[in-house]
Amino acid sequence: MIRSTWFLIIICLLICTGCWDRKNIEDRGYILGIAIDAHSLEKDAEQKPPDKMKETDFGRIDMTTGKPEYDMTVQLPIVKKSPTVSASGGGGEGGGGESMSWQITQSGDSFLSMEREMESRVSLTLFYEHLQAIIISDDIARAGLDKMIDFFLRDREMRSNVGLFVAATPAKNLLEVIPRVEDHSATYLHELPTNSERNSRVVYKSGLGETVICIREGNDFVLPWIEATKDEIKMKGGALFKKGKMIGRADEVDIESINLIRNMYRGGVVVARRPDDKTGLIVMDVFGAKTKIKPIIQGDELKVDVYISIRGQYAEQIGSGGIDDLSDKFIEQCERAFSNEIEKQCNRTIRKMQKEYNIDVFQLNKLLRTQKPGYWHEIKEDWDRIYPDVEINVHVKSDVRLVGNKK
Amino acid sequence: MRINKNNKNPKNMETLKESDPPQLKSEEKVDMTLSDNVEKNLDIFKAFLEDNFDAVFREFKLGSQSIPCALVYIDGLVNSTTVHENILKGLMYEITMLERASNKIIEGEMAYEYVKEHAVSVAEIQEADTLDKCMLMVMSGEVALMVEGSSKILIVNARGWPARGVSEPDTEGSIRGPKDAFNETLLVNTALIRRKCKDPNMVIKTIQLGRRSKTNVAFVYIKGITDPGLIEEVKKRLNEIDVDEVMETGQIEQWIQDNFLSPFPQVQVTERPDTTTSNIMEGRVAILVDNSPFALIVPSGLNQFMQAPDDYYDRWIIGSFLRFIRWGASLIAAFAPSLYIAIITFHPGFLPTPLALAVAANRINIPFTAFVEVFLMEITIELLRESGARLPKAIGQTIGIVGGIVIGDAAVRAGITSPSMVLLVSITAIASFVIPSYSAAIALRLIRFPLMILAAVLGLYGVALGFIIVNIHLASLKSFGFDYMTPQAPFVPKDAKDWIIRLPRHYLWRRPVSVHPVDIDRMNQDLYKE
Repeated sequence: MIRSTWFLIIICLLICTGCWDRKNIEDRGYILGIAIDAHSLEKDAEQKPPDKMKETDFGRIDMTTGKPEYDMTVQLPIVKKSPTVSASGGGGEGGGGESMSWQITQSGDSFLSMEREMESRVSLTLFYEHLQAIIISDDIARAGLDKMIDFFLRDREMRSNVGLFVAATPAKNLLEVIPRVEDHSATYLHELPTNSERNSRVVYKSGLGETVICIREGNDFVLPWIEATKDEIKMKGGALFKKGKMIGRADEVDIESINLIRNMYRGGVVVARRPDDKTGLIVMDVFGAKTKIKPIIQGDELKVDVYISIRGQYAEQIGSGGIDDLSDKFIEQCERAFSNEIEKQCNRTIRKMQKEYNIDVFQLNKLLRTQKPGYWHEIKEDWDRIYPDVEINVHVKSDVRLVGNKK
Repeated sequence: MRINKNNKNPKNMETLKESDPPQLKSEEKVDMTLSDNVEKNLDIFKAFLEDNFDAVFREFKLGSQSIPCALVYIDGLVNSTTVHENILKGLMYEITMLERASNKIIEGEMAYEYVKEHAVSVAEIQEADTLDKCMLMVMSGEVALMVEGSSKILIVNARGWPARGVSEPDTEGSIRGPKDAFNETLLVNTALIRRKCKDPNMVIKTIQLGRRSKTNVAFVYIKGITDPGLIEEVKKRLNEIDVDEVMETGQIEQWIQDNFLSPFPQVQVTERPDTTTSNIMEGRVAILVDNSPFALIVPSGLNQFMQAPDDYYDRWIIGSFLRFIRWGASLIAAFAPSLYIAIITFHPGFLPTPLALAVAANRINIPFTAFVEVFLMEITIELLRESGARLPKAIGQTIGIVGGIVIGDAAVRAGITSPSMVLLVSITAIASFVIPSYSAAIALRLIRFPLMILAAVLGLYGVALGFIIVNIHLASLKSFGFDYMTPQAPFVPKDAKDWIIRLPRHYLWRRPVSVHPVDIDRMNQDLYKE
């Protein structure tokens, strides 16, 4: 009797404690993308009749703490338009320039309150585990990413591989894009950086996880800058962040150099002038690069040597009148030309980062902290002042491994 | 005779008196000791058997002195040619010729010996001096021969009854292996085992079980390999069975298993003589029951239920691959529905985004929660399976098509279930059919229902909890005192060579040590020892 009572109690405990976060898969609202803008929804104080209500009127929030600062736009997929809706429902036809997602804008001063306010407009339970991309507008980024990012780190449904992007104000325009080959602009955005293994000019590893490490450690970093038309999105260089605030933009060549120096180069293209014919071009398809950075302290002076070695294929030549010279001597000359080209490009970026922006986007501070802790301890406070004048020498060694097909 | 004597319930006695008076009369009024008078002995038999239309009492006179003799047998259980040619012809005709030729007169007490030695031309004869033994023999299909002047009764083996031939196994097919299976005759089954192992040390012992059914139960082992303790345990457990009837190995299994509350089988059942023999060779004991085309193998563990003869007949890589598939299938069969419920209702973040959206789109018009949906479909598929199992083969296939294609499609169109659900249920069902042992497969199918409830209540945490509970249960099970989960728990590295990976034969030079064989080597280990 006592045993069976205990048994019942245990069963009751199990059943009563369960189910609290139970929600059917179709009842959740999968937030795929979030765009964050500074508050700009027009304020309309007077009560309007229902037929005159606009989305901006719904987006406002009654607050006790002050005035709204942000507009959060979320992208929800319209699941019932999906082609896999079971036959009985007479599922909608997807695609064809018709949006498969719903962008909802809500203003407020904190992100949780905005999300919950949104749930008064959406019948679904908002759910972040499938969040693909967060797009931050220019002005919010300049005001400080570190200021507002906390919710996205603290919430237990957020994943660290969410892509972070910066776009010109208003960022919510990016979510309105209807990509031609995907249903939702956020998933399209999430997939874009995967091309970094073929195109080194896009920012690699710019997820929420990596970014927050940089913010916490006080490192400078770069996030991809995106631009869009009605149905296209382009990753166009990056936004430079210093101490959590955006201070400027880097072009695509800069991004390539930064990737190279930070040992994040996964593959790309190097173009150089032909060594034997200055009007022609030679092209190298790089399939791997390795970078080692050695800080050297000479007396009081800090000198940094960057050794880059790249491997690749002689992929294309332009000009040269159809002569295909693959002799060892020519290849050696080509390798030297490629190396010089990369060196030149890196030096340009380094100068720009040091002199123009004074931003340690190569994360030399991290390197010094681990490799020269004593020195770093001394100069830590002065790093901002020392950094622009640090001598950074780039040494490139390129290695042409293959020469392609010959037909 | 123990007939009716053990019936201690007085109420039953009364009903018996009214409904079945002749039998009672025979008990009370007939003196059951055998005499040297044929007529008296025959009366005893008649007292028991005269109401039976298939009982034959044949009285005849032997030789020139007309010595009274009688045959008693059950028609249908004997081979009538043997009775005519080898018994009656000799006794009634040839013996008279013999008398004339040798000028010798057979009479009196020498008649019985003479009959036994000269007249009955059947190899297997026995003598019985009690009615108990004699009656049992008659009921088993032998012929009782009574000769005036002897209180012994000659039991002549003329058994012959309608029996199925040796056919292909129905439930345990094999691609490479032999195609014979046991049938309902114990002697055929033991012969099939003997054909596979000619070792004179192989012992086939029988005992009779069942107060009324008197079923022959044989247990087979190899002296010098099998653990003597195990043999004693088998004997003990079999002797403890005291029931009216033993119809099938299944009944024996339920009496001798260690834990009758567990859904998992603790005794392996097979209808394949090759599986049986190789298990005996590994040091296990096989139990065969007359009238049953199955053999029980003890001790047996979970590992054995995942083995099929083809694992050993094919090369080791293929065998290992098949084992992998089976272990995987057992996990799918038990856990796939509960994982589905857990992910759909609690953790959609586990799915890749396109899949999550696709499943959500699939389910958008479904009125039920995932648990109800899975439960309905699982019940449906169990109904289909059960209806298919009992129906004649031709109709069974129709059920398969109706169930698999029509119902599945219609359920989706009617908006009761989603296509992904149909996929899941079908994969689960197919996975459960992959497991070679029917009883293990049905146990796995059964435990998925409580697991589904756990998943619906607690999500993945519940599934993990269920997994742990199932494993604790399995690890605590014993089969004839041997650990059920060997070689994984407790881990026996020596036996793990024949587990999920079936190593090449060279490395399997040892019999499984977890069954404690007396003789451990089964190969010339000097050649193949690692």
